[in-house]
Amino acid sequence: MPFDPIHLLTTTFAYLDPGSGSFILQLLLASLFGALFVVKAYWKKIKGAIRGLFSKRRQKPEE
Amino acid sequence: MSEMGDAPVPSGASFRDPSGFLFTAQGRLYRQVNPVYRQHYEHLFDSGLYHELVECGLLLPHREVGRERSPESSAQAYRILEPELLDFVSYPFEWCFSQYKDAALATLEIQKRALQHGLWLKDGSAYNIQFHRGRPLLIDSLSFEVYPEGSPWIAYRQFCQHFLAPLCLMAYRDVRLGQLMRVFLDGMPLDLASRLLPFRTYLVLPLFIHIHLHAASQKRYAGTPVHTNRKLGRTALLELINSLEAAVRRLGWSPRDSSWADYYTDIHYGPSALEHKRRLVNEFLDYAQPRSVWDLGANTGMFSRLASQRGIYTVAFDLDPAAVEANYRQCVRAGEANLLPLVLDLTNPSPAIGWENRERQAFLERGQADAVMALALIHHLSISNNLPLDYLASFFQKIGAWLIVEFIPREDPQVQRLLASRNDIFSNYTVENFEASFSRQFEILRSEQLHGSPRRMFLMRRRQRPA
Repeated sequence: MPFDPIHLLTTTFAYLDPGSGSFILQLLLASLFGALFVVKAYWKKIKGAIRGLFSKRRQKPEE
Repeated sequence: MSEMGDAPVPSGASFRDPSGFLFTAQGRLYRQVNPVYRQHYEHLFDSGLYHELVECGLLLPHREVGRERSPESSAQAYRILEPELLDFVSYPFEWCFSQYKDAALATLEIQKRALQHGLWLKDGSAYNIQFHRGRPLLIDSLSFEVYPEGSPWIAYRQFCQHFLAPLCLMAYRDVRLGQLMRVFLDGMPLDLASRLLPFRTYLVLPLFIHIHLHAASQKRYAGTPVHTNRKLGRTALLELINSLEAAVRRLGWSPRDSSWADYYTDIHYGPSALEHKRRLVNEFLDYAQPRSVWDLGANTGMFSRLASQRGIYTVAFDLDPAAVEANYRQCVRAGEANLLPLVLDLTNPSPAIGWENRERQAFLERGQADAVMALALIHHLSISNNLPLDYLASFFQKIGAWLIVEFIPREDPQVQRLLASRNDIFSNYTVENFEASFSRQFEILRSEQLHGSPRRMFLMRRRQRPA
């Protein structure tokens, strides 16, 4: 279903004008913020993986 | 009280939100919840959010009272609430930088906790935050609504205008720009903030997004209807809130070059005079036994604390944002609940603003104190601001029943400093004239010269006004 703020305004109790520009900006940035969330959630794993990669490379010549 | 005085009077500030409104009846403040808000109100309680926020001091508690108090017919009211009373209502343009920042962070913390309970804030107004027992909290229990999954944050624009933009301007340009909140009732317009901020704020990602890109988006999409398949998922919304929080947290301001904040470290009078002054203030407070004190020209609050540390609710006003900042930081460090430092220019106190000048009250409409302290203040008002002594006496009797006041005569170096760059047209500025002017409004109960100083301390009680 398309996202329709008129529908939103009738189902919730918004009395403020959210402002078209402020509303659209958030929708445009949805994927950026969504991606940020994922990156942060998996940051430790990613960091661990990268570290692992580098340490393996470093270890190789010693082998 | 007359019958007219008993009739409920709706608050002039409470007409925007159809969820309910504030009114006063028989001298008490109530909030009506309209039937249309029922679902959200119930969810606030059923989800446990109300109790959680009250417990951690982020929401002003209220109690439910009988619906017959409604100014309308009781059928039109779903609930009538009586919120806990605030000691003093302050406005964002009276907060120092750190107070403003703490208010913004409190709003975002509330928003995050609300989302965990399936609700969110439907407004992000700085006027919904007040300082109560030393900490910022939300005073409007009708600010919540059930979170509509997938929607962008309705109050995003308002939060940026009320909190982020003024804080950025204070941190990056000049702390005095917080005063613009007096002019712009619904917060700083983002296009203006974007123009006033220095270029380096474009390089800070959250500020680039929430101020500059936001302002551009407002301009680009003004009046455009929003029909799209896109949604803002819960995780993206949480990231948006985190990003606003990161933006606010990294903003900082520290007093650097204030001629005032180091007032107490400068030597204006010897230690025996200072000690004598403290002793007299203590004695005067013992005698007057006030329940509330307003310390005008409080600087960093050294004398305000003589009152607040006795458990007396004290508001410490000063003109200088740096002095207020230092005072507030000390309050936070020591967890002081009875002291509220605020920025106020007495020669141009906060006016009433908003629709019909009734939405936000003027300084003089926001109550009175039992006792007013005016230490090392009279010479500033009288000489720097050319105010006649009669005007001062008349002003002080409007705001307090007791007056603890210091008179610094002409020969004191502080007065000489004020006179250094101007014609001395102040032949009336004498202790005799001061006593004569103030005696018309007050009874002078004590008058004592400080040890080793020409300064004089007074305790005065307002004369009974004719009935």
